[in-house]
Amino acid sequence: MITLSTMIVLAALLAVPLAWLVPGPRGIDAVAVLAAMVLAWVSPLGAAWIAGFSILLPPAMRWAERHGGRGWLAAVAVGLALAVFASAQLSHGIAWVGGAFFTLRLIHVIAEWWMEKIPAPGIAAHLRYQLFLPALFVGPVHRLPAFERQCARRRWDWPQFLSGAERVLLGAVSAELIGNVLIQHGRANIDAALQQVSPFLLDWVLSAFDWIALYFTFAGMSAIALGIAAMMGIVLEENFNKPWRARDLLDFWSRWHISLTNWCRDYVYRPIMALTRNTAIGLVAAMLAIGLWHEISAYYVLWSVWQSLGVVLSRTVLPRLTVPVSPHLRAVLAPVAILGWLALARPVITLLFKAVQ
Amino acid sequence: MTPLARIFARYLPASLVGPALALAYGAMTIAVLVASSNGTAPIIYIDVRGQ
Repeated sequence: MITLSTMIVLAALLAVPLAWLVPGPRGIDAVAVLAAMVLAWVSPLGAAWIAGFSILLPPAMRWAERHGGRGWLAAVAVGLALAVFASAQLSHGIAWVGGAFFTLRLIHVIAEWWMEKIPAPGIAAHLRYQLFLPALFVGPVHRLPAFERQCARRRWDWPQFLSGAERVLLGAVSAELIGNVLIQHGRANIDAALQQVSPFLLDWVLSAFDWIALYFTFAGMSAIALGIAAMMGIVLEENFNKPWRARDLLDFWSRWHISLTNWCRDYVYRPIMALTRNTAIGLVAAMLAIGLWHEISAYYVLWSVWQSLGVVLSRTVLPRLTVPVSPHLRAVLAPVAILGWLALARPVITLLFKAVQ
Repeated sequence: MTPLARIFARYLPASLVGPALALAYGAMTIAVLVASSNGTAPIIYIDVRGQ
């Protein structure tokens, strides 16, 4: 059976000729129309929310600019976006496509407009940004000014088109073959072989496998999105920068899902830092935003605390350890230690839940 | 030239780059089609819920 995500990827591939057949800058507008139709088919409620808010926001922004209600509109729009995001996350059974990424892009537009860094976008510009089909449900959380520049400069380029097509294929290999089959096969074998060890240790090892599978699947899906965008003549922001080469946890989070990390840095960490002048509070708030964006649950609140603790320890305790380690050994040990910490979150939180019950 | 074509061009004679690329693309496409028949496990970063 074809999954919803596979269907949207196929629709995005079908949108590539559309982006070139419709002349001039309207090509990406045509992609947005197709995205709205796909969304309306698979998730009418989600389509109404995303398209409706994208259409209503620009005139509301211009009205607020004329009548002096910039702050009020920004607060109400962000509050509404977060409320709808939270209710969609918490209500099961409603088909929902792209809502989490839409919320991040929407807050980006509102925040940049509120800080007067960008003018209120036109309705067409806002729609083609929010409904860019390749990035709709898997990111990256691209930025409006860069996207508009890409749309304006877009022109047919064979090498870019072929490199994009190749990237789609390599991304599919990473997501489907490596992440979804090979790593899962290894995970199942390890699961069967380690039945005698303690449940805590087994969950730790399986959690490490899940992180590796997550990397190949998510990086693969991101490559598919970036590849299809490149086939349309649009260069989007990268989402991964060799996370296995990270030196510590903070470095890891700056290499993993980069567009989300940058979003949290700009719209959570920096404002909290400006208010409190406390790095730790800013860090926990940013990690909490990342955690709750994944899922609104007690598990992800604790997950955020765990990851914040890891970052703090890696920046305070690790530099004080004076054990001499060669650069080569460090290049091997650092990713193993990072994976160990990331994977340890699940068994530790599970243990905490069991202790509380 | 695509990134994969550049890698092949570095190690193979020019006349073999095209066939090698075709072979690699074909093998990858078949592998993806076979692998995807298993059904994709949902991951938290794919923003498709309640399907």
